[in-house]
Amino acid sequence: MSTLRTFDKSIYALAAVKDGMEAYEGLGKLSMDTSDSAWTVNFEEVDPDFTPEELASEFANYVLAQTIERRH
Amino acid sequence: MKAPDILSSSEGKLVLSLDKGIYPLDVIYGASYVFIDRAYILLGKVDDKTTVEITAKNARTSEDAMKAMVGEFGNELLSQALRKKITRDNQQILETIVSQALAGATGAMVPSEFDDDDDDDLDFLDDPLGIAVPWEERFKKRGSAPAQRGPDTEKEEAGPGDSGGHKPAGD
Repeated sequence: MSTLRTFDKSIYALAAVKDGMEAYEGLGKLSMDTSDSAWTVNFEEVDPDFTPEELASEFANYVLAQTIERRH
Repeated sequence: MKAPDILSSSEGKLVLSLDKGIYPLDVIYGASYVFIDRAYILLGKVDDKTTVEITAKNARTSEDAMKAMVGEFGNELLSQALRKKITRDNQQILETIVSQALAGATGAMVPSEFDDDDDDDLDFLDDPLGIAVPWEERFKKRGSAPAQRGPDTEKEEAGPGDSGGHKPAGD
């Protein structure tokens, strides 16, 4: 079972998404797809201590915080 | 200012739609950052509007509590917008204060009375005010023998400026 999170390029920073993937790589298999307007991160084989939805949501918060801290 | 529109609401999740003209991205960032410990926030874009997906971290959060959270989020948006306006309005004052503080720290603002150009020929061993002259030399009676130790010695040898601090012993 996999879960997706889409990060709009005009809102999120690529460095923040990459940073998040490094930070969360130990908790599941993460892969990123790129489109013209967004980056989509796919979460698979998630650590059984978390639901895929929980991990994806925590990841999204992490990426948002990193984006805000990088832009200020 | 217009309140955020609620696009959808279901199972502890709300999606708001914010007009970019009213709520700039910096303001949305600021408000989202405040809520990041209480809720999962995901920002997105639909046409000319920014969407904010708010999901409560606690799955048992009631519908009313979610609506209250949206109200708080709206208030935080206003607070961040005001903060941004105040910062923008006072930008010049802030820059002036910081630049003066930095200039002072680097020594560029030292007043002219502190310039010691006149003392350039003085060595560090020079003592024009006689500060380094020992007390015994300064107040010694010329031609008299050194005073003997005794209870009255200090009275006889005491001179002007003797405050009782340093009490030299006789030689």
